[in-house]
Amino acid sequence: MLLTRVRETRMKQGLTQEALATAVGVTRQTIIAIEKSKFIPSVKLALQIAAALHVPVHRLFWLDSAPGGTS
Amino acid sequence: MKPSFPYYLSRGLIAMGFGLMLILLGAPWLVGFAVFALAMAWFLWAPRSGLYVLRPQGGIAALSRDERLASMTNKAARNGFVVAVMALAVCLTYFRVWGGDSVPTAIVASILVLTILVYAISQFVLRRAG
Repeated sequence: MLLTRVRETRMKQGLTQEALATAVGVTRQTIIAIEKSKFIPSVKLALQIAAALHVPVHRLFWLDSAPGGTS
Repeated sequence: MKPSFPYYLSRGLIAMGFGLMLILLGAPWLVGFAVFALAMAWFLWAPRSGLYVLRPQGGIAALSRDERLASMTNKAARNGFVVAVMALAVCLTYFRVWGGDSVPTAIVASILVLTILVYAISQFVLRRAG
């Protein structure tokens, strides 16, 4: 399963789901699904989200087989 | 963000086309008008539904699917296709081997309806699942 810190990172930067969705060219429902780990984004979309949030992509997404996520 | 005028104009013409087509095929004008109104209502609701990515600079193609919606649509289409092929295979086998005749048109029409139902239900389930 793919885990994510998109929600926490987005909220720390004061971004709404709508704003993040517009920035990366997807719908708000897609951002919601990604934040709930119900949808696995493509590599391209993951990189776009990381760029929009100004964080490395490995700090946003990781596999649950890696205990504690990446540091 | 809202779609630009070309989007609304093109969708208005499409909705009118639907209504006119029904009237020309013999439906009462009230039914044609109702179809026009329903189609126009959907076109007005779609940009605000959050289901589509909105690009006002896209003109008449202002709405597009994002990768999640495209993924769900592709899965639903695949499900419908598999059901259609399997149902046709079963019917062909039955009617050719045992019935000794070709598949009746009514059966083929039923398979098409079943395919559309499977597609619609798959879309619904996938959207609910997130």
